[in-house]
Amino acid sequence: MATISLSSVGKVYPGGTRAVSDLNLDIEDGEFMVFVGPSGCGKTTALRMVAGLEDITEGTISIGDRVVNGVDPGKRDLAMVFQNYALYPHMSIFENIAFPLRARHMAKDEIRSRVERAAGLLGLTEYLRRKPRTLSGGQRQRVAMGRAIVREPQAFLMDEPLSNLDAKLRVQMRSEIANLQKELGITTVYVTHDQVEAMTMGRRIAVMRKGVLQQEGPPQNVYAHPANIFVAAFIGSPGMNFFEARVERCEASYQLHLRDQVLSLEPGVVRGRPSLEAFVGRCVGVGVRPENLALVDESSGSLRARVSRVEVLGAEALVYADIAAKAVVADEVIEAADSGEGDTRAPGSTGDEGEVTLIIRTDPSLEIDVGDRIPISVRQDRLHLFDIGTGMAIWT
Amino acid sequence: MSAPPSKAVLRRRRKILVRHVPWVLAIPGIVLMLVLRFLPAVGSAGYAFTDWNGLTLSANSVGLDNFGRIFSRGGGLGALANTLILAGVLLVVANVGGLALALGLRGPLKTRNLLRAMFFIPFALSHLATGYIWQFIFSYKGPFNQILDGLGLDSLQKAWTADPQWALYTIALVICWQYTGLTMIIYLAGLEGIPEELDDAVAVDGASRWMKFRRVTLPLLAPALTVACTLTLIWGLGAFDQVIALTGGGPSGATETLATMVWKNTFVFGEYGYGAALALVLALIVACMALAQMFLLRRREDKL
Ligand SMILES: Nc1ncnc2c1ncn2[C@@H]1O[C@H](COP(=O)(O)OP(=O)(O)OP(=O)(O)O)[C@@H](O)[C@H]1O
Ligand SMILES: [Mg+2]
Repeated sequence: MATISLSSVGKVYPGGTRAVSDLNLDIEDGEFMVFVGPSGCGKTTALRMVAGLEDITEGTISIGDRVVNGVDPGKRDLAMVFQNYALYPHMSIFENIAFPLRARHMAKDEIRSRVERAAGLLGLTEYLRRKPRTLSGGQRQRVAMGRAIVREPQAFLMDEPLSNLDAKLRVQMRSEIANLQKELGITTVYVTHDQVEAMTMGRRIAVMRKGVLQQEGPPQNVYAHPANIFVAAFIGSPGMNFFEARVERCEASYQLHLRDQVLSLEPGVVRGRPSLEAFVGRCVGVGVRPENLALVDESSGSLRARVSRVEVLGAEALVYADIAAKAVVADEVIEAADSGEGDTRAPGSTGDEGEVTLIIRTDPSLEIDVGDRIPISVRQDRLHLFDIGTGMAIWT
Repeated sequence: MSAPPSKAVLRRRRKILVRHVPWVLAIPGIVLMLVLRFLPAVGSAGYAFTDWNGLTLSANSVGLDNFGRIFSRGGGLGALANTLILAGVLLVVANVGGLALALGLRGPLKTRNLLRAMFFIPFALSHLATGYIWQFIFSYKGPFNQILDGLGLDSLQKAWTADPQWALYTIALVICWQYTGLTMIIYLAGLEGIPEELDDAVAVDGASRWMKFRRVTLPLLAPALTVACTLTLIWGLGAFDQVIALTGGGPSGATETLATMVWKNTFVFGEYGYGAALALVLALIVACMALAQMFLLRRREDKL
């Protein structure tokens, strides 16, 4: 078990593609760290550099206090679980799990007892004599896990290990892996493009985009305080609502001017963000998560929107409602929305011309009809404001 | 007049007809195949038990005499031994060499396509024509001896294809040169079939190169191994072109193979019956050995 630190790590592939830039990250001993980001953002590349399967173009990677830049993968004492499991097709499950031990010339008895223990832990005991091709996807995934845990390595590296499983199995394996990791206490780096997986499994997540680390921290922190518009749009399902609004001063406070309505900012929002002063007269990006919008009665509503669709999902309902506002059409938002699942708005969506569709997460028992004009309240302590030019969140 | 057949009978007849239509359609092809390909082979096998000379109308049955001649000293035994040696050497060298080349030319080598082509060309060229080139190379005043001379190894110079001790191995060398390119291609194709992810898994698991080869690469190459071994065995047993071009079977029969003997006896010496017997023996040897080898290798594949 060991810490893993990446310092100023960069990767340029032989063809000239830059996959990772200036990545700095310290993964603590025993920590479960998730790399998450849309397809092609360099997660796999970063992980493979840690594993030693890919040369490191710039910077250094250390495991424990050893710099491993030039060290062979086999000498780094890491175990990896691959997306397609990479089981040895001609070997029995027993031999598959035993392979890394045999490579280390462990004694036969020791190998047997270790493999049996790992198989017991993963519920594979009755399959030990079978070949991988006779197992289901979930069982194969377990064998791949078995091959990793049998060795008690310095760290586990996992590259989208659940992406080939069906939804139900994925949810089940998600908690199994997380529990196993907790039990063994082995440092783990886990790569996924699925932000739900990242949120539920990671003790810490690192959000990447185009080879650049956007933000890292505990999932709840990243969710509540996204550093920029990309992270805000990428994390959360359904995704955050965005629209543009002009900042205007109003007595001691500020107002956000949409096309035809005004949202007065509460003192709490303004107090924490002295830099808003600089945005007066200019447009900012406003972000608010679906659960931080609420349907209220006429008197307390701060915005009004016209209902265009209602989706009842059992425990909750999603109300799609249009307001007159300019959509935020930054690349970041479009890219994040493209890679999100379960978000049925078009990227940077406008309902009708000049409108933005908001999603409101609400109680399914409310009676709402399409076409209604409804009053909405905004939880302002959960409001996000972004500098449209840079995409950075305005937190100060 | 009999009553017209009932509907049920008609239906049954039609069913039978429909089931047999594919066979009916294949009949012309099957007949041609039988007449042009298998009948002559079987028919000529019949001559193996006669003393027919290929010209006269009559042939006398001589029982197993022809076979006795083959398995007698001074008869076909020498050729049989030469054939087995050539096949054995080719089997081992072409497969070990082809596998080594395939492994070597698989990596990220810049010139690998050029090298692959270079090693494959000998197989693509006419074996008879390249045989004559090698004959020149190994002749007494040929380039090979000149190179030896240049290296100060002139004591080793000899007429390679005319030396009874060395002629067979000279032929073996040329045959191996020709077929190793092909086995290389077969093994390269086999290696392509091994998922790249396994390389990564092996690397992370920390296996040595030898362990990787022994426990992962070689077992997964089993199908390619079966194909390459079977082909080289068959070619080795049937070696003909290279022998004719390099030595013509000489000196004094030292490099005669079953295939060259078949040809000589049948078409040069006019001993059709004896030639047919040799051909039959050769065919049986090829069939038995190839089938046995395939059976063994396949069983190994199944175990994987
Ligand atoms: N072997 C390679 N040679 C050249 N470019 C590569 C290679 N592998 C990846 N890339 C490029 O590097 C970038 C990052 O790829 P990477 O596989 O790390 O993405 P990822 O985040 O794992 O994506 P995904 O979620 O689709 O797996 C991509 O633009 C990709 O095209
Ligand atoms: Mg990937």
